[in-house]
Amino acid sequence: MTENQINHITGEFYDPVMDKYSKKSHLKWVLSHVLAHKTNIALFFLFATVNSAIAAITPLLLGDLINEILATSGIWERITNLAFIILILTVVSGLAGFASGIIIEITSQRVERDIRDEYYASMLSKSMTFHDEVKAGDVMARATFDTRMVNFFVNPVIHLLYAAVFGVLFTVITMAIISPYWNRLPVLLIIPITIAIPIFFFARWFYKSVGPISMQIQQSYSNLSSYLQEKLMGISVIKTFAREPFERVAFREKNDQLSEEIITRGKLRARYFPALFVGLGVGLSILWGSILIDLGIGNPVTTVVWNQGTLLAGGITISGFGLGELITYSLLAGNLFFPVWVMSWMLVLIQMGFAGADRIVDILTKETIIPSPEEPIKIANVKGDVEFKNVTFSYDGKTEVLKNIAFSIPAGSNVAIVGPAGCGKTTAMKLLTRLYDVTSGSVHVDGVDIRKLSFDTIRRNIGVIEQDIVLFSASIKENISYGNLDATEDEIIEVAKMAQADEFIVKFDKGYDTIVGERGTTLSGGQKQRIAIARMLLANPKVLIFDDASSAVDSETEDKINTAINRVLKERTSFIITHRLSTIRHSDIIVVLKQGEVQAIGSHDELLSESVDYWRVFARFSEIRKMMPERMLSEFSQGE
Amino acid sequence: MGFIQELPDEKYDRKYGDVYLFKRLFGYIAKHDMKTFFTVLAWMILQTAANILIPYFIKLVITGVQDGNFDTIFYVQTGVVVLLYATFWLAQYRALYRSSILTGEMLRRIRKDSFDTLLRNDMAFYDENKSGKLVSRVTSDSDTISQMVQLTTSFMINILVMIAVLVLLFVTNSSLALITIAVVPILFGLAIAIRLFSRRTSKNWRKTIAILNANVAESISGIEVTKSFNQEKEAFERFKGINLRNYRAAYIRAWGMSIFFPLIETLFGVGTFLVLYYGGRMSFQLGTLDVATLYFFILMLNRFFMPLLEITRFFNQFEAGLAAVERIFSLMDSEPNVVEDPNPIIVGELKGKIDFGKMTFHYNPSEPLYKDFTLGIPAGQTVAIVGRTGAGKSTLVSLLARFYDVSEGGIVVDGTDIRKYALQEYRDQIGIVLQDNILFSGSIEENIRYGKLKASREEIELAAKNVYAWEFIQSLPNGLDTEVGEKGTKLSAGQKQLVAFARALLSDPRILILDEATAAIDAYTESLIQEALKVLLKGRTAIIIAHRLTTVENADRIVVIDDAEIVEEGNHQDLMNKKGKYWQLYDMYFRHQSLEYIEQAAKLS
Repeated sequence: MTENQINHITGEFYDPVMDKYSKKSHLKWVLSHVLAHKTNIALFFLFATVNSAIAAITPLLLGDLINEILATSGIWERITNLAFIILILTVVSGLAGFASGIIIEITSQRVERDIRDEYYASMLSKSMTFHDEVKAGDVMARATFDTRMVNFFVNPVIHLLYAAVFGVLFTVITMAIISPYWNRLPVLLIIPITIAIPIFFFARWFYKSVGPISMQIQQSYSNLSSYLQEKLMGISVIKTFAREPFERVAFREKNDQLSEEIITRGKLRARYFPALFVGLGVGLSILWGSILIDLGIGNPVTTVVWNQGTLLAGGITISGFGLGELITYSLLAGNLFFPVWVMSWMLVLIQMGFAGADRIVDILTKETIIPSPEEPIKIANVKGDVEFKNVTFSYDGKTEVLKNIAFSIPAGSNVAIVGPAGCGKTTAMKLLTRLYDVTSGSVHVDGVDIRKLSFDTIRRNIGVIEQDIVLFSASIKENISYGNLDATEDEIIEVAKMAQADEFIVKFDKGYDTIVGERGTTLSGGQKQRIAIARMLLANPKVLIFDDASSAVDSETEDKINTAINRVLKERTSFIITHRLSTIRHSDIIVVLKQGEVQAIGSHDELLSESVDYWRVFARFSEIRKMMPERMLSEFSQGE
Repeated sequence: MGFIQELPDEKYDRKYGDVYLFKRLFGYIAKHDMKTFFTVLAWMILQTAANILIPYFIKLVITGVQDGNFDTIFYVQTGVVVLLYATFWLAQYRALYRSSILTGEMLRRIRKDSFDTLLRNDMAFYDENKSGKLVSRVTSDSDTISQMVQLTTSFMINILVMIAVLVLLFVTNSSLALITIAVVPILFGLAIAIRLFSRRTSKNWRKTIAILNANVAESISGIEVTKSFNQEKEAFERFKGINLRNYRAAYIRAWGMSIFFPLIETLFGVGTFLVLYYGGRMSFQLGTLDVATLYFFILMLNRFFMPLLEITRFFNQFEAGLAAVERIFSLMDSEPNVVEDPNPIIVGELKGKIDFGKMTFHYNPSEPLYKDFTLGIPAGQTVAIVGRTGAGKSTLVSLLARFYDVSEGGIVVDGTDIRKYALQEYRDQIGIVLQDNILFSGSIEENIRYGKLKASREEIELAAKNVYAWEFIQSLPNGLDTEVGEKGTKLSAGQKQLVAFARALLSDPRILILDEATAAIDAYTESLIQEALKVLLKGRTAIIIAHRLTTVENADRIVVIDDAEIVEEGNHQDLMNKKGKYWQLYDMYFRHQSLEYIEQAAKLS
């Protein structure tokens, strides 16, 4: 699409599918998705038209057939011919209906598939700022529910709406053809027209009232289930605090609201039911048609046809509008039932489809990407010098999480970053991998501002082991090989051994093929961590960031974890965020952060003799009093 | 539309008979909404009667037109047709209106009752049942129940309709009636077959959808990992594969779905043809049938086929529907083991004297068996419980909180067996902080307030300050109002622990239980909390399952547990001097926290 060939900055990920569809408005977006399957749509229109036309013609033939039976001069062959034509048309209509149905269904599935691809690619390209801001549940809802709604827009909405519109059109044309004319006016058409007007207003009312409540129900429903999900997971908390009465009330409120809404929608739907209009239409058509027959008002065209000596006898009018036509007419009026019924339903779906499209486009067009440099510098083998130059950072533009951070780390050093919870340790490290961009200042790797480096260079050379280790729902082998997809099985086992993970992996029934992650075997924190270390050893980055999670373990496990950590830190520039005193103790450089500022920097021995804050990290309260040098104690007690 | 909505189909061991379930389901309605139910039924019968009478009167009108009898009777008959349509609509409107109230109210009650059951159940129940499954009981299974009610009601009505239509047809003209129903077996068979095919393909498709959604969910929660390993391209390729698989399943499913209505329509056309052909012959060649009757048959055809389709739907879905009904009822029937005494003792302010008296308890095979376990804790004492992993420490906590009941003996607090206390009042005075604490989505303030719903903001602040959580809370952009995210995921493990600590303290418990409660907090903050606890615990009983040396050293008394038995007791110094179990454990668990260990840790590689 030409309109999208604007100067376009790509982020961390780019795929052509992201630009394939117009995103100027949600309407255009839906349209461009549908029109991507032009041939299918054209074929659908063709078959659907055939189907609708036959639906309007059949009653006509039926009327002829009845006239033929009634006529004294009727010919049996003509009757059988008509009956067979009706049969053939039925089969053709069935085939056409099937063809149009399957084509549109497949198209709708393709559209859904395309949207998912586009959506997923777009999510990958968004920066972490975006992913922090939006709720995961919300992103999910758009990927599932809203995408479904857009799929429904193609089938059944386009499908049935087209069938309805053409059904009505063909029916009305047929009606006009056979209607009795009085002063050149097709007088029997009065009935469908008079019922059409209230239907229109009713449908509009329905659209306005039922649409919003349907969306409201969807919302209440998902509120209720996420509430349940959360509270049942935390049932022990409810029990501990004896909060059952409180939760009972909270649940009832949500439940009552949902039920009220469902009942309200049910009542609205009941009221709309279009049987009234169509039924009245059929009944009134018969009544009005009989009066016209009684009055001798006929149809000029068919009068000529029937005058060819084939006219009805037995007291039936010779005006060209007789019993056969009356039957045709009432059947045609019945044809209107489906379109009218479908309309109300479709209107709600259209509304939901557009609302879904709007929400998806809204998230697709959010410009929160980390811009990739215009001419990215690629470094095949990073040495590992890291420098923070007066880095200030804020997530939201208001609160500064990091203030003027400056330090320079020579390649190969092991750095520990320490400080109390919430001091900015993790954030500082996220800037190093450019998950976020600094607010001011700059971060340099091998002397190059990372904003000038290609994402590939940064992410391949700087590895991260997170605090909350995420393993994907796949085998242990696959999870480890995430670090290097080309790794052989031997290499995987080798790194697992190095990370002290092999010993517990082989104890599982399926060994390295054990499925882990959300839908697999639950691993303990320490086990996950060692798998993550193995994964990292395989990726073998020059710079490593290790956000260590501490948990209660026994000394033996602690030994193993320490061994694994020591191995992964070796021969690379490493930054470790940890409470593990043994690791901090032996780091080359220790950076002490407090409230977003660097308080002190140096080796363990240096810091012990100069930084009270380091003492606070390293020692326990009681030990500080015993061991801290005199001159620092006064400063320490002032801080308390 | 009926065909597209299929009930989820889940394997389940059936316990109850079909008839019992139906009885109980309708008993559920009968208990509360008998009147509404009969009103709905009455309107439905009226609606059906009007619907069937319409062709009959149209037949009369047509005879009138055919005979040219445009007299008063003729116009009355025509008027009746219009009136019948109006009645049909009114009855349908009332039936739908009342039944939407009926099912809506029923749904509400079923959900309410299920949730009440869930709250009533004990922890043993939650250990057995995954929370995801339980959520779907309350949400989708109860939805299915309301669909079942509609399905069954419409099934009964439709059987009625079919019988009425058949009788009318046979009375009018038995040979044409036979011809009319000639296609019924084929129609019925095909409809069932296609539905079976659709059900299978839909199941496959739903499976691929579930995989797809799980992949999206996982990708989003693990996006940082994907970015860190620079694996976006690979992730996208993988996703495209899964997405394509889903499309293929949808493609196969589309065939079954798309063929259903056209095929039924065609068969309907064949039925019409048969009526026309043979009926036409009877009336034209033999003169045994009038045109009005022929038309009557054509109109009746529709009223016969539609109920038939509804009936195939019933047969197709009632299996799945009944399974849902059964799941709900078996949930409601689940009886907790931990129940409040029928004449509970009102709990005043507890002093906190705890006696485990000859208690026997065995909960699951991986946990050791407690047999005749006896331990007395005087009010106000701080007891540290130590032991290796899997020694049964946490079981003691669960028992004290009455998450489970002991099988023999008893736990006596302030001289009364805890099973005699009013359950909630008793738990209200117990505070627990665990290693993995669960927070609920909402702000930090709301989470702390969970400990005492009526607490003022000042009290909450104070609680946060007492456990040294205030510093990190202050550093957050929105302070106490910061949203913690689902399950508290926006906070680090240490921060969560601090919030949980504040929550427990705010509830002002007489007995405080800390189960590895400071594992994720840095050593310094932990030592501050220890200092604070010395003040806060004054006058309270505390049971601390500890992993940190300082905690144990500070306790009034240390109880060493191995295999659910007390092996040693005493204070730190005494036990160290004894060089027994505690001394061994100390080496195993606390050695790495000593400075000597820290010094030599670098050599591990």
